[in-house]
Amino acid sequence: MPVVPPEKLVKLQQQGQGIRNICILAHVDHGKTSLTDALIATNGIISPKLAGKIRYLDSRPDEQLRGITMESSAISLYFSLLRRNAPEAEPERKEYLINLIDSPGHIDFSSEVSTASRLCDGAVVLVDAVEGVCSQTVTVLRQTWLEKLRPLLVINKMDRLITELKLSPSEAYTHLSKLLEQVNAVVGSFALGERMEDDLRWRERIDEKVTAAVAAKGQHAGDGTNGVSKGRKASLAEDDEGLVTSSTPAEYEEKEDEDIYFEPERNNVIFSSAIDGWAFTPRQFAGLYEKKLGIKRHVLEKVLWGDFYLDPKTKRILGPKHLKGRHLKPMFVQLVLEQIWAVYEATLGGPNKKGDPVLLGKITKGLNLSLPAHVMRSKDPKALLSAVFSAWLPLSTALLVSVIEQLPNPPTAQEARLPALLAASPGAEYINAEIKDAMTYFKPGKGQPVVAYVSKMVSVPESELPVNKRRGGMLSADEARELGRKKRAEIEKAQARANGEADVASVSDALSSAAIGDADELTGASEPEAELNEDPEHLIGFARLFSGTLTVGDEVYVLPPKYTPARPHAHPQPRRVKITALYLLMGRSLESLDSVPAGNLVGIAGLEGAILKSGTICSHLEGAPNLSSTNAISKNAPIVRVALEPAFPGDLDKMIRGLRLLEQADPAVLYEQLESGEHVICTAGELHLERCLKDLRERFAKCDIQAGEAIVPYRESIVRAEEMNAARDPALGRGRVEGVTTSKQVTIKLRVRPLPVPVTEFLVKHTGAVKRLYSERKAQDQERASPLGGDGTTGDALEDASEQDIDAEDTTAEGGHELSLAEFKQRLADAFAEEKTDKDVWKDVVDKIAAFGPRRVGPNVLIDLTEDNLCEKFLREEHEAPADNPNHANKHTSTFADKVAYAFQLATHQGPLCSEPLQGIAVFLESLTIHSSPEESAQNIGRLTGETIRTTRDAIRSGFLDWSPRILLAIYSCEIQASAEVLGRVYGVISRRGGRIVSESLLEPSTNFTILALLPVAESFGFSDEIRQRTSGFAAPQLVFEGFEMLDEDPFWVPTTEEELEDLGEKADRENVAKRYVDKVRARKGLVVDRKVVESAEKQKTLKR
Amino acid sequence: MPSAQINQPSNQIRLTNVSLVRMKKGKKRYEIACYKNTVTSFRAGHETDLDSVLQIPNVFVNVSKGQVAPNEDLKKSFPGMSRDEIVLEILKKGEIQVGEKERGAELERMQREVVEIVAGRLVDPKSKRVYTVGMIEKALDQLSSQGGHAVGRQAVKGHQGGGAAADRSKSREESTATTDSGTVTSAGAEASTEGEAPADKAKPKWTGVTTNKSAKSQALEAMKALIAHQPIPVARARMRLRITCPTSILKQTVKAPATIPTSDDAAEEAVKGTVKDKILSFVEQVESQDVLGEEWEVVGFVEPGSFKTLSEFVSTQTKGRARAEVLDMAVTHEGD
Repeated sequence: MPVVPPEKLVKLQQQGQGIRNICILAHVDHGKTSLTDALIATNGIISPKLAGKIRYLDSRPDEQLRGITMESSAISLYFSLLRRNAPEAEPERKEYLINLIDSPGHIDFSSEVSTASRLCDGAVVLVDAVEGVCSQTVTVLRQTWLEKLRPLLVINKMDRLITELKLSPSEAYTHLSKLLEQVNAVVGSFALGERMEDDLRWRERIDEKVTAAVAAKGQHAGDGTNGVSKGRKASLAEDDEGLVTSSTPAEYEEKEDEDIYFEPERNNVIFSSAIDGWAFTPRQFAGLYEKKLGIKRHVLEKVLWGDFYLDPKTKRILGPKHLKGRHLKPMFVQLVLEQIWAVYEATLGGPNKKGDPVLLGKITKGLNLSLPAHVMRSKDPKALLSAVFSAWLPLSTALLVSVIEQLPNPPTAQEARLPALLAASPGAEYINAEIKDAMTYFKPGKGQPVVAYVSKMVSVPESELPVNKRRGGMLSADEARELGRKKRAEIEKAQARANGEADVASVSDALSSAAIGDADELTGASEPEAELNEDPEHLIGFARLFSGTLTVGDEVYVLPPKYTPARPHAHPQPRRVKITALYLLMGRSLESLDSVPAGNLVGIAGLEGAILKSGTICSHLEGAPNLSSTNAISKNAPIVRVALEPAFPGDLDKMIRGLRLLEQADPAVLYEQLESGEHVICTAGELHLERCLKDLRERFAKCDIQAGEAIVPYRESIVRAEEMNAARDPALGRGRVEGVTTSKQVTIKLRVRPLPVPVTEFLVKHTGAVKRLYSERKAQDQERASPLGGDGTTGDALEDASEQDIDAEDTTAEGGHELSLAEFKQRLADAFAEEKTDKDVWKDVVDKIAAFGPRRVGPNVLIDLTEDNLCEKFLREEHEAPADNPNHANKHTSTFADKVAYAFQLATHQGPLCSEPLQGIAVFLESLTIHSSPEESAQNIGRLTGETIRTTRDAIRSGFLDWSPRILLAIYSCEIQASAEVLGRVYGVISRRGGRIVSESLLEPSTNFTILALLPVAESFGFSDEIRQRTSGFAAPQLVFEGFEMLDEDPFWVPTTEEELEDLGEKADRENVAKRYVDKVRARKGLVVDRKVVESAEKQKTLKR
Repeated sequence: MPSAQINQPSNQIRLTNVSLVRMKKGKKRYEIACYKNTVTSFRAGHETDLDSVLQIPNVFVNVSKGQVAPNEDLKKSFPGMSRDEIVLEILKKGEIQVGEKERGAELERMQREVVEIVAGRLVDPKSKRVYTVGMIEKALDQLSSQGGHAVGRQAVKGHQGGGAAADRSKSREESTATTDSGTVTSAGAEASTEGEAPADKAKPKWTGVTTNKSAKSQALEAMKALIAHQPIPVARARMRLRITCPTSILKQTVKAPATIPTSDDAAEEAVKGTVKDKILSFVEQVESQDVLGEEWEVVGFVEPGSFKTLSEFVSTQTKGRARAEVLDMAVTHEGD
């Protein structure tokens, strides 16, 4: 078949009726890409012989290597159909443009599936004839259901039934009908879910009516003077009346669910074998047998699948009742499957697995096929097989005809799909009616509003853009001839010279100079390659145009996913960009376009930087629909988190640049830079991660990158435990420490206590508020200072502060509301008041809080209990004057109070357990005395500063350890959807990783359970992969960071009492989980770990190696 | 007697899995036989079971010959102690041989500690973000195996190896493991000073961690080396200081510049200026500066290396009336 020129495709884009946008969906390895190959072969892009093996749309080398698709890619195909409107009419040639999207099947790339399906109008769902319905099959079927795509079922790999399972045709028939039942059961369950919801709604309505009626009747009955029975009768009548008169239908109306199922007689099921290149629908066979059996085609279509039998004598079709005990094969077996089995037998079967030429001859004759002689002589039975089938039942015909006939064209599809889609998008009521109209009723005209949905950004190397590409890709014939001429001329010249000198060397010289010329050519060719190194990747939006016509040079608004038409000018303001180029997507290559009408898939350039991952393009700003809003598209939140690092530290900048590109180019990747300096990416799965790393290494960053476990944060805290070791110094009381600096000049008395739980929670929740209070106070100070100081810096600082203000607002806004200082104080006091024990300790502490820590905002407080209030009060009211300390004698001491406050920050930043931040402790500064004269201490203030800080920090630490220390683990909340069969295994994985189940509930319509669990972040590495493996993909976890949770175990606990010693032995056989975590962190940080160098000393290897 | 003399496989006693702890007391040398890699754990208190430390609960004069220390000698050297107490005493205070694993574990721990400290103090000068431990580790690795250093490094290695071998043979007879490791590193240090090219001398170098220096000082060295060579763009995280000074002093010219160690170029330039100028010359970036009554106050970022000079200057020049106060030891980018 000749190559279809792109011009033809462009022409076809103009007629909306002749376009089909379809995507191919299936479980991994069910043959999507092979099927696509067969279709591509019809357009002459690849050889039909290679179809099914070359996997044309798997353009990435690793896709080819692994044999799985990783990125969805699109291609536009041309197909012409001869069709008769009436049986006798002249066949009419109709041309179609099929925009096909091949999607990946692996669960890691399921986000690609959802983006692909949003762009299409119809879906081709593949199922492996042997494997049947798999986990991803269910997912894609749900996807088509949710997106309201019209599906077409392809039962692929039929050849495996014959060659691998060696089923007989009748066995195969039962197998197929079972498979079909499975698929329909899945689809039915979706319909059932929807139906039950409808039913519920209907029931509610009925209930309302009934109660209303009952109320009315109650009144009526009260009036009634008749006997009881009569009254009841009347009320019953009343009841009936009430129901009958209500507008709600008394009987629940079953919605028609016929059209959702896959039934071969309705021609939405195709049987195929992509690898051998054949496919058929019952309709095709009906056409074949129409004449032979003399049965009308439309009748045959109905009876070819199902329990229908052909009476061999009367040539009449019998139902199962009329069999009368005879053993007849169903028609499908007899007329369809047996024929196919025969072809396999004739080519691959036979005595020596080389086929049966006699039988083959019979078949070809019977089918009226003429095979070329060289194929008939071919030694390769496979070639013979595919030759027979491609002549008899070509895959592309069956599939494309079904696609064209069964799947809707853009105008019909948009009319059906878009109203619901638009209604679900945010701010639906604000969408401009004109735009809505244009989208729903498919108006591709020039003046119509342009609306397009960009599902993802594809990065394309610059050299592959049509602008830069050499025509033809390789040397054209002219160029080759030119090159040849040059070489000949060189050699002639050399020979001419050789006449004089007859020197061999000169010839070789000439040859080499020709080679140089050649090299020039080559450098010319490799120039784009060089550019590729400089500006390698271009991002192209993968989009579907819903209305209007998009032309190069148009300026359009790009609406971000958070946009809502209710507030079109809200921050971030949608950007106006110019379309720099439009491309026809042809798999791995692109073709330039000038303009594209609605209903097509198109690549849009010029969106770089405007769209991060997905977005909507619209020619109007006001009243534009947002098709890319986050809730509209179901997306798997990325769950595999790893920290990345360049192998050579100098490549860091390259890596960061690459990560930014990757984040744009891949919808399922999240990139963040953590406070600890780590560069973390979140991907949808291990395989996806592998692909991302490969992309980074080879395309985006071009440097070696290593991935590792991200550092897990911990927190340290203390509690008042039931049984604690005796306080270190009973005279002082628990947690009270008296610190003296080494020079004996400063004495610090302080007391550490655990903060009441509500206070800690409050502080953790309102970190933003504390931060804002800080910046506010700073701003106030600045204001006060500015009339005095009066330099330019204050303005900047103010601005800075207000900026922080905004940040803080953002964070508190998430908490629901923002707190003013007074409010904050009040609520903090309330939180303290909740604590019942030690009421006197926590009385009025709010006013004495000197600082929060660590980093001045954390959930620990420093409380000033000194007599003359050395420290500045943090939560002072605005009207209060700043702390001009009236007591001048104490000014000296208060300078040290600053040091104490600083030491508090340090101590809370790095706790004594494993140098992780503290949480929920209160430090009461009780007194601070200086034993030397002010002058003396002023002299060596430098030394004293250091000493004070160190002493205070150590004091806080030892006070901390006087209580029962605890370690807090970072926790993910983990939501898992799993079917009932794999529930046990899910529990196993969670409990093995130290997780805890919070709740479990049945998702009502389906048989799936939703499990809510908490899982320590430290144990989450590889969790998603393990759970998928253990449940064969039937459980999908989602992890969200939840916060810190205390592990209620003292890391220093050892058995002490007699009972414990008896139970656990001296070494405490049970592992101390808290200690394990602490030791792990300590080992990572190079702190001393309480661990023996060798476990069993006497068992060491003693021989010299 | 004859069986003891005839050298047969059956009566040969080989010391395997033995590490000796020696102690000289009262002109006599005593030894005890321990398992390898256990004594440091015991001393650190991680190992409490004496049986898994001691091979034989006895005191020897010479373990390899099996000579048990005579009671009289022990009584003389350790008056009033039982044999078990003596064993414990020797175990605690004697000279030990550090086993391979012990040394490896300690070295690894030290490496991590050093890198952790370095990672906390260095930032990317552009973004002010800290680097991860892994990045710092790689950068240090690169330094210690880098081109210009390769020669010196190899020389060090060669010398170290030779020195160690020589030492080990000696140690059989007299020296103990602790001195062993000490001499090795000192030999290494010598070798490095010998092997170093004079041009390289200006730049501080990094040759990996050792166990006989404190982690902090090694971290400082590592930081200096990283900043000098810049395998990745690094700078020390700045300290945030608040310096307050009475306004009356501000305008004074700096007295006696000789008292200030003139190490810094900037410092020398500013010598002629006022106290205020001098202070500001230390501050790299001024965050805020204002006058509150009599007091002048500046908050700004200071390179940690010059903090000491600054605080000395402040205390000497103003007779303690001005003060420099640390607000933050290391300012890094804080996340949102």
